[in-house]
Amino acid sequence: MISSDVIRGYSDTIILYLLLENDSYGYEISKKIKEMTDEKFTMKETTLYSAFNRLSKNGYIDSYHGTETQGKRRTYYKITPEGITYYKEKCKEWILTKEIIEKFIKEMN
Amino acid sequence: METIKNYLETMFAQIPQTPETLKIKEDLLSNMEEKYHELKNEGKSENEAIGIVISEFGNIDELMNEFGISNNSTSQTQQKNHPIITLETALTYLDEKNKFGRLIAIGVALILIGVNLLICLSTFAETGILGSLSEDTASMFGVIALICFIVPAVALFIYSGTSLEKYNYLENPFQMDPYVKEQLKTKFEDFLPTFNRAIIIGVSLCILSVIPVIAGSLIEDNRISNASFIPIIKNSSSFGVILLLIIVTVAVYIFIIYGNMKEGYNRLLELEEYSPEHKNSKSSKIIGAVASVVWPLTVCVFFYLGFFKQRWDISWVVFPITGILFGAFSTICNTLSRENRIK
Repeated sequence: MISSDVIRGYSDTIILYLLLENDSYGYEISKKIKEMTDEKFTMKETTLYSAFNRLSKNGYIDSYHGTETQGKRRTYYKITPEGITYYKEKCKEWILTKEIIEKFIKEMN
Repeated sequence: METIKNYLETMFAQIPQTPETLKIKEDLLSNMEEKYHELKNEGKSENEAIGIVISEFGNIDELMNEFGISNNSTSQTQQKNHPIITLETALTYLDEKNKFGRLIAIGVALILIGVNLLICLSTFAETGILGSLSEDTASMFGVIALICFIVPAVALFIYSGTSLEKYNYLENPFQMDPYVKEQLKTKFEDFLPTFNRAIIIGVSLCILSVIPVIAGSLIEDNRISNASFIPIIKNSSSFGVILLLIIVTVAVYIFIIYGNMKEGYNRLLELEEYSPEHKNSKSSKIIGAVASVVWPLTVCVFFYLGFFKQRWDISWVVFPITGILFGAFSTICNTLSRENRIK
């Protein structure tokens, strides 16, 4: 399992990506992350909720209550137009980052 | 299940309870519970499921940092030295404020009753109800009565003033837990309708209080000549003034009690005259300075007209006149400084 600073810097991007498809809630998002990365990466609960808090404060996501009839009501998150703009910026940033770092990576035997 | 709940409680123990953090805690709990149930459905044992959920919780410091930032970090460090107001302190303050506010209201009412008594005595003397007692003697007794009422009133003012002195530190910046603030806000919102009702009653009384005076002078002007031996009719406008003062006393009593309660909330919640912008504004300082000159001067005029011009029946008028003029002055001052700030 990896927990590098690089991924930490992109947890917002990961969450925004998943919200691009459809609105979602905490557990579904963390489950999808796990599945998509073949369980190589698990986003910690505190990382997830810190990100939700930060993204809401910046106006990149909105939250609303779900309409479940049974059990506790979930908090759903929805990406905003500002969130989409921010996501695009982060994607550009990543492409540049990847380009730079790759120059210093080589296969060693 | 309980284990997860307890774990979360322990983790959140060091985080202040605000609507924001409580919400996140609730969301976290339902998230963790859902994860737990799914792991159990996948055939994991109770212990395994709990183990995985807790291992994937992460680091509480991460959340704390997040809230540290969200609480407006720049002023955070400065505020460290400011006294913290707990819910208990806030409620005691409001309690004491109400208690001593009532004493102040009683004091003011006593003074008004004293003034009224003075007017009563001179009116009675004028109408001859008091028999052979001359107007001058009656006025003298009136002044003595007034002083007798002023003494306990001043005692009450000093007592409540010094008793509330220990809360003077509220004049300076203080810290309050957002949760406590929220509780006070709810209490304040519950109080507001009562306050509004009290103000409406008080203002209505003030307006109504003019009726006896008008009625009194009408009766006096149109009095039936053969009824003029009845003293009350002969001097009905003076009796109108007495009635007016009684009604105004009730209104002032209501204003002080409820105004004082509201002031308590304003101070704790830093509203209106206690808002940070207002506290530092020039206009409130000017108004304060002018008030400290104008009001004692008014009292001097009141006594001058009474003692030297023997007009106790009319000298009280200086108080409402000064009140209205001063009110206008402070409104103008505030409006001007607000406009300046906008520019």
